[in-house]
Amino acid sequence: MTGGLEISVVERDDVVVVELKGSADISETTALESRLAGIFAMGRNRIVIDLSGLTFTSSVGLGSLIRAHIRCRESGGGLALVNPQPAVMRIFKTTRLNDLFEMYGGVNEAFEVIKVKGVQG
Amino acid sequence: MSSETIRELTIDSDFQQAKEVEDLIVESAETFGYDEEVLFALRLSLEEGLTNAIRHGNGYDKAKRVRIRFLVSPEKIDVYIEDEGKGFDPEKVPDPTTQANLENPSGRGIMLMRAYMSEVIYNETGNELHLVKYSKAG
Repeated sequence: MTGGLEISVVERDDVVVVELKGSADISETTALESRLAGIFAMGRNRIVIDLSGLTFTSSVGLGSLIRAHIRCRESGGGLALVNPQPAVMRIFKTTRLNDLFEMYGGVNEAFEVIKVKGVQG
Repeated sequence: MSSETIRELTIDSDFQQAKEVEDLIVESAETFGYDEEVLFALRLSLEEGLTNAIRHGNGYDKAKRVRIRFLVSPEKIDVYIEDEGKGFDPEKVPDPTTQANLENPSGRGIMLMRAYMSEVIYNETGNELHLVKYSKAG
Protein backbone atom coordinates (compact mmCIF):
# COMPACT_ATOMS: atom_id res chain seq x y z
CA MET A 1 0.00 0.00 0.00
CA THR A 2 2.98 2.32 0.29
CA GLY A 3 5.49 3.47 -2.26
CA GLY A 4 5.98 6.52 -4.39
CA LEU A 5 4.68 7.75 -7.69
CA GLU A 6 6.59 7.17 -10.92
CA ILE A 7 5.80 9.63 -13.68
CA SER A 8 7.09 9.06 -17.19
CA VAL A 9 6.47 11.42 -20.06
CA VAL A 10 6.71 10.61 -23.77
CA GLU A 11 5.85 12.96 -26.61
CA ARG A 12 4.39 11.73 -29.90
CA ASP A 13 3.12 14.03 -32.65
CA ASP A 14 2.52 16.97 -30.29
CA VAL A 15 0.63 14.75 -27.85
CA VAL A 16 2.20 14.20 -24.46
CA VAL A 17 1.58 10.76 -23.01
CA VAL A 18 2.02 10.69 -19.24
CA GLU A 19 2.24 7.33 -17.53
CA LEU A 20 1.55 7.18 -13.80
CA LYS A 21 2.71 4.18 -11.80
CA GLY A 22 2.28 3.64 -8.08
CA SER A 23 0.57 5.80 -5.54
CA ALA A 24 -0.35 9.49 -5.85
CA ASP A 25 -0.44 9.85 -2.10
CA ILE A 26 -0.06 12.62 0.44
CA SER A 27 3.74 12.66 0.11
CA GLU A 28 3.49 13.15 -3.66
CA THR A 29 1.22 16.17 -3.58
CA THR A 30 3.45 18.34 -5.71
CA ALA A 31 5.09 15.77 -8.00
CA LEU A 32 2.24 15.38 -10.48
CA GLU A 33 1.34 19.06 -10.37
CA SER A 34 4.95 20.08 -11.14
CA ARG A 35 5.30 17.58 -13.95
CA LEU A 36 2.10 18.77 -15.59
CA ALA A 37 3.17 22.40 -15.14
CA GLY A 38 6.39 21.52 -16.98
CA ILE A 39 4.37 20.12 -19.89
CA PHE A 40 2.30 23.30 -20.13
CA ALA A 41 5.47 25.39 -19.92
CA MET A 42 6.64 23.62 -23.11
CA GLY A 43 3.48 24.87 -24.81
CA ARG A 44 1.78 21.49 -24.96
CA ASN A 45 -1.97 21.19 -24.45
CA ARG A 46 -2.84 17.73 -25.73
CA ILE A 47 -2.28 15.18 -23.03
CA VAL A 48 -3.05 11.50 -22.55
CA ILE A 49 -2.63 10.22 -19.01
CA ASP A 50 -2.26 6.48 -18.63
CA LEU A 51 -3.68 5.50 -15.24
CA SER A 52 -3.38 1.74 -15.68
CA GLY A 53 -0.44 1.57 -13.26
CA LEU A 54 -1.89 3.97 -10.71
CA THR A 55 -2.87 2.07 -7.58
CA PHE A 56 -4.08 4.96 -5.44
CA THR A 57 -5.01 8.62 -5.57
CA SER A 58 -6.60 10.98 -3.09
CA SER A 59 -8.55 14.12 -3.90
CA VAL A 60 -5.28 16.03 -4.20
CA GLY A 61 -4.34 13.94 -7.24
CA LEU A 62 -7.82 14.40 -8.65
CA GLY A 63 -7.40 18.17 -8.25
CA SER A 64 -4.20 18.09 -10.32
CA LEU A 65 -5.99 16.21 -13.09
CA ILE A 66 -8.92 18.64 -13.04
CA ARG A 67 -6.63 21.67 -13.28
CA ALA A 68 -4.79 20.06 -16.20
CA HIS A 69 -8.07 19.20 -17.91
CA ILE A 70 -9.30 22.80 -17.66
CA ARG A 71 -6.00 24.21 -18.84
CA CYS A 72 -5.91 21.91 -21.89
CA ARG A 73 -9.48 22.70 -22.83
CA GLU A 74 -9.17 26.44 -22.35
CA SER A 75 -6.10 26.56 -24.57
CA GLY A 76 -7.85 24.62 -27.34
CA GLY A 77 -6.30 21.23 -26.61
CA GLY A 78 -7.59 18.26 -24.70
CA LEU A 79 -6.84 15.71 -22.02
CA ALA A 80 -7.86 12.07 -21.85
CA LEU A 81 -7.45 9.44 -19.18
CA VAL A 82 -6.70 5.80 -19.88
CA ASN A 83 -7.77 2.65 -18.14
CA PRO A 84 -7.92 3.40 -14.39
CA GLN A 85 -7.77 0.35 -12.13
CA PRO A 86 -11.09 -0.61 -10.51
CA ALA A 87 -10.24 0.90 -7.12
CA VAL A 88 -9.24 4.20 -8.71
CA MET A 89 -12.23 4.12 -11.05
CA ARG A 90 -14.47 3.81 -8.02
CA ILE A 91 -13.10 7.13 -6.77
CA PHE A 92 -13.88 8.73 -10.14
CA LYS A 93 -17.41 7.34 -10.03
CA THR A 94 -17.96 8.34 -6.40
CA THR A 95 -16.96 11.91 -7.19
CA ARG A 96 -18.73 11.83 -10.59
CA LEU A 97 -15.47 12.82 -12.25
CA ASN A 98 -15.99 10.03 -14.75
CA ASP A 99 -18.55 12.44 -16.22
CA LEU A 100 -15.96 15.20 -16.51
CA PHE A 101 -13.04 13.34 -18.07
CA GLU A 102 -12.84 11.58 -21.39
CA MET A 103 -11.77 8.03 -20.58
CA TYR A 104 -10.50 5.35 -22.91
CA GLY A 105 -9.52 1.72 -22.61
CA GLY A 106 -6.10 2.09 -24.25
CA VAL A 107 -3.41 4.69 -24.87
CA ASN A 108 -3.57 4.38 -28.66
CA GLU A 109 -7.31 4.97 -28.71
CA ALA A 110 -6.96 8.06 -26.50
CA PHE A 111 -4.01 9.26 -28.55
CA GLU A 112 -6.00 9.16 -31.81
CA VAL A 113 -8.77 11.27 -30.26
CA ILE A 114 -6.54 13.79 -28.50
CA LYS A 115 -4.10 14.38 -31.36
CA VAL A 116 -6.79 16.09 -33.45
CA LYS A 117 -8.17 18.25 -30.62
CA GLY A 118 -7.96 21.90 -31.60
CA VAL A 119 -6.33 21.07 -34.93
CA GLN A 120 -7.88 23.00 -37.79
CA GLY A 121 -9.12 20.67 -40.51
CA MET B 1 -3.74 -9.37 18.20
CA SER B 2 -4.86 -7.80 21.39
CA SER B 3 -3.33 -4.52 22.66
CA GLU B 4 -6.52 -2.53 22.22
CA THR B 5 -4.94 0.61 23.55
CA ILE B 6 -5.52 3.95 21.97
CA ARG B 7 -2.33 5.33 20.46
CA GLU B 8 -1.58 9.01 20.21
CA LEU B 9 0.79 10.84 17.90
CA THR B 10 1.36 14.51 17.23
CA ILE B 11 2.90 15.75 14.01
CA ASP B 12 3.83 19.06 12.43
CA SER B 13 1.72 20.40 9.58
CA ASP B 14 3.81 18.38 7.20
CA PHE B 15 2.69 15.93 4.52
CA GLN B 16 5.70 13.64 4.90
CA GLN B 17 5.01 13.20 8.61
CA ALA B 18 1.34 12.69 7.80
CA LYS B 19 2.30 9.93 5.38
CA GLU B 20 4.29 8.18 8.12
CA VAL B 21 1.28 8.27 10.44
CA GLU B 22 -0.96 7.02 7.66
CA ASP B 23 1.39 4.10 6.97
CA LEU B 24 1.50 3.24 10.67
CA ILE B 25 -2.29 3.13 11.02
CA VAL B 26 -2.79 1.17 7.80
CA GLU B 27 -0.11 -1.33 8.81
CA SER B 28 -1.78 -1.69 12.20
CA ALA B 29 -5.10 -2.48 10.51
CA GLU B 30 -3.32 -4.93 8.23
CA THR B 31 -2.04 -6.89 11.20
CA PHE B 32 -5.63 -7.36 12.34
CA GLY B 33 -6.46 -8.98 9.01
CA TYR B 34 -8.53 -6.22 7.46
CA ASP B 35 -8.85 -6.82 3.73
CA GLU B 36 -7.51 -4.72 0.85
CA GLU B 37 -10.82 -2.96 0.34
CA VAL B 38 -10.91 -1.76 3.95
CA LEU B 39 -7.23 -0.81 3.89
CA PHE B 40 -7.79 1.22 0.72
CA ALA B 41 -10.78 2.99 2.28
CA LEU B 42 -8.83 3.68 5.46
CA ARG B 43 -5.84 4.99 3.60
CA LEU B 44 -7.93 7.25 1.39
CA SER B 45 -9.82 8.65 4.36
CA LEU B 46 -6.64 9.22 6.35
CA GLU B 47 -5.21 11.11 3.39
CA GLU B 48 -8.29 13.27 3.13
CA GLY B 49 -8.55 13.91 6.86
CA LEU B 50 -4.86 14.69 7.32
CA THR B 51 -4.73 16.85 4.20
CA ASN B 52 -7.71 18.86 5.41
CA ALA B 53 -6.18 19.25 8.88
CA ILE B 54 -2.88 20.51 7.48
CA ARG B 55 -4.26 22.60 4.63
CA HIS B 56 -7.58 23.98 5.83
CA GLY B 57 -7.31 23.54 9.60
CA ASN B 58 -3.74 24.63 10.25
CA GLY B 59 -3.32 26.60 7.03
CA TYR B 60 0.08 24.94 6.40
CA ASP B 61 1.36 26.74 9.52
CA LYS B 62 4.38 24.70 10.65
CA ALA B 63 3.95 26.06 14.17
CA LYS B 64 0.56 24.36 14.39
CA ARG B 65 0.34 20.67 15.01
CA VAL B 66 -2.00 17.81 14.20
CA ARG B 67 -2.90 15.30 16.90
CA ILE B 68 -3.87 11.82 15.81
CA ARG B 69 -5.32 9.15 18.06
CA PHE B 70 -6.21 5.70 16.80
CA LEU B 71 -7.46 2.39 18.02
CA VAL B 72 -7.59 -0.74 15.92
CA SER B 73 -9.48 -3.80 17.07
CA PRO B 74 -10.93 -6.83 15.30
CA GLU B 75 -14.36 -5.14 15.31
CA LYS B 76 -13.51 -1.65 14.11
CA ILE B 77 -10.95 1.03 13.43
CA ASP B 78 -11.27 4.42 15.14
CA VAL B 79 -9.16 7.41 14.15
CA TYR B 80 -9.35 10.92 15.57
CA ILE B 81 -7.61 13.78 13.73
CA GLU B 82 -7.47 17.12 15.51
CA ASP B 83 -5.99 20.33 14.14
CA GLU B 84 -5.34 23.70 15.75
CA GLY B 85 -7.57 25.66 13.40
CA LYS B 86 -10.75 27.49 14.30
CA GLY B 87 -12.91 24.74 12.85
CA PHE B 88 -15.67 24.83 10.25
CA ASP B 89 -19.18 23.59 9.56
CA PRO B 90 -18.90 20.49 7.38
CA GLU B 91 -22.55 20.82 6.39
CA LYS B 92 -21.71 24.08 4.61
CA VAL B 93 -19.22 22.44 2.27
CA PRO B 94 -20.81 22.41 -1.20
CA ASP B 95 -21.68 19.10 -2.84
CA PRO B 96 -18.76 18.48 -5.24
CA THR B 97 -20.80 16.16 -7.44
CA THR B 98 -23.20 18.84 -8.71
CA GLN B 99 -22.63 20.07 -12.25
CA ALA B 100 -21.67 23.53 -10.96
CA ASN B 101 -18.90 22.14 -8.76
CA LEU B 102 -17.62 19.31 -10.92
CA GLU B 103 -14.65 21.32 -12.19
CA ASN B 104 -13.68 22.63 -8.77
CA PRO B 105 -10.20 21.14 -8.12
CA SER B 106 -10.88 20.80 -4.39
CA GLY B 107 -13.73 20.08 -1.98
CA ARG B 108 -14.02 16.29 -2.37
CA GLY B 109 -12.34 15.13 0.83
CA ILE B 110 -15.37 15.00 3.10
CA MET B 111 -17.58 13.29 0.56
CA LEU B 112 -14.92 10.68 -0.12
CA MET B 113 -14.50 9.96 3.59
CA ARG B 114 -18.28 9.62 3.93
CA ALA B 115 -18.40 7.26 0.97
CA TYR B 116 -15.57 5.02 2.17
CA MET B 117 -15.88 4.99 5.96
CA SER B 118 -18.65 3.63 8.18
CA GLU B 119 -18.91 6.88 10.15
CA VAL B 120 -17.46 10.36 9.74
CA ILE B 121 -18.09 12.60 12.73
CA TYR B 122 -16.88 16.14 13.40
CA ASN B 123 -16.85 17.72 16.83
CA GLU B 124 -18.95 20.81 17.44
CA THR B 125 -16.30 23.28 16.36
CA GLY B 126 -15.21 21.21 13.39
CA ASN B 127 -11.51 20.95 14.26
CA GLU B 128 -11.62 17.29 15.23
CA LEU B 129 -12.61 14.50 12.90
CA HIS B 130 -13.56 11.00 14.05
CA LEU B 131 -13.36 8.26 11.42
CA VAL B 132 -14.83 4.82 12.07
CA LYS B 133 -14.59 1.72 9.90
CA TYR B 134 -16.35 -1.40 11.08
CA SER B 135 -15.12 -4.86 10.25
CA LYS B 136 -17.30 -6.54 7.67
CA ALA B 137 -17.48 -9.51 9.97
CA GLY B 138 -18.41 -7.33 12.91
